[in-house]
Amino acid sequence: MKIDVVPEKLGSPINYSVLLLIGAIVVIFHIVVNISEDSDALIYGFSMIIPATVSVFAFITARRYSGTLVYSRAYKMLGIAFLIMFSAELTYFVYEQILELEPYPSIADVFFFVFYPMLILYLIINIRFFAPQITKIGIITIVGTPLVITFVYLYLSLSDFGSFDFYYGIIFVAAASTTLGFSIHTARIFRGGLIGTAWLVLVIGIILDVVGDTWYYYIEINEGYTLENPVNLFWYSSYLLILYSLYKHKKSL
Amino acid sequence: MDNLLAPSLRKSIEVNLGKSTLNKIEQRLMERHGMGVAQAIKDFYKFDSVLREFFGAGADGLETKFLQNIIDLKQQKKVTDSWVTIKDQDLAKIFLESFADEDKKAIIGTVLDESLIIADILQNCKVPQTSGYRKINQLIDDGLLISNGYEIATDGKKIKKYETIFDNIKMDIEKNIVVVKIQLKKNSFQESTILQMIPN
Repeated sequence: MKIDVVPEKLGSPINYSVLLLIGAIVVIFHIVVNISEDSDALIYGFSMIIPATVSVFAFITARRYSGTLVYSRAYKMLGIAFLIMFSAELTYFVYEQILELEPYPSIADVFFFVFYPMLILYLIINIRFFAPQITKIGIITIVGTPLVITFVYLYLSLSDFGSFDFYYGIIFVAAASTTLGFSIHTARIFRGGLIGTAWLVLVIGIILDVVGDTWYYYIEINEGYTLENPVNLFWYSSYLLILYSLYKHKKSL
Repeated sequence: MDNLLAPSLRKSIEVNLGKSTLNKIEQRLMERHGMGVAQAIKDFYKFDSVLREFFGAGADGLETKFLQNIIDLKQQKKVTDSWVTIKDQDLAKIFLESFADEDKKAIIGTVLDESLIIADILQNCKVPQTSGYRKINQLIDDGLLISNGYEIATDGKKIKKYETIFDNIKMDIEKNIVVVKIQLKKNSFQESTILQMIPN
């Protein structure tokens, strides 16, 4: 007979099978789209379904916490962020496939950019409630992370200094890395707690997103992005990890 | 003092983080310490340890926020003579209603400077026994009266003595908001684990 023992410490370990599954999904998907002849529909479909799923899941979670001052607002912001990402992907699709126009740069980029402030708002709502007084390490993390990453990007793309792509890339890389700075700070706050694991997964997800963005704008400067580019792997896995972190957070509380 | 703050703190968790979070915290408190939120808040270190299990260092902000909703922490830091400004309107209402009730006001007045057993309180303040017992119990449940020592009866039984948690009280109504300032008794202030948590 199994004895129901009260655990000394509450735990919420990362399920590595889920991480493997996410890795397998994105790698298999990438292989499939690279060997099939007409893969555009698949790529666009996948690119829109994932943020839409995260958005729906975030709104469902916000509804679960309906009326609360912290979680309800925070999850609504996250839901809006991914709804904006979905709109960005949809606009990109309409530009390229229906209007047959060059989607970069386009109005889709406005949506791609607004995604970051909304994600930062989600993080700030949590930070303001759980750690209103920011420590020195917190300030260094929030300010230092975007500075380091943006300077790395600047260094990598110096060859294209002065061009439109160069400046355009800086804006997005800075926004993405600022989000990363905030998320690392938030994960540090919850480190050691039951919801700490969920925040760690979220940070890994955002790191992959930043890598994806930095790489994407570097590609745009040098060779030009194609739908089959492996950079997509980072975005897909990033969103799926954020979805997993949402699930873990919801399960913990 | 913690007796008085417990219901408001519980409400604050629910308002900010939701009922399901409160249920999880309650479940864990029951598992680990065999107590509910109301009891654990009075034993704040246990409550704090469970909050840390859930939120890590985020528990600090959470606790400060709970207190901010109930007590004016800015005022609290400045004042050294145990005056506490109550912000929570439900809590302020308890004070206002208690002083609006003539019997309760008389009961409070009787045990303001000395602790007495219930029978003596009723005798001193000349309140009818039935309603007097009910009102004293209400004041105990609300946390305005606390047990402070015992008196040995003729048959050797210990009978609890009660006193108020405060020495002085000020009540203002500013634009329809009730502002209650209470000067806690020295022991009420020192024994409150919640007030000891206020960062300096």
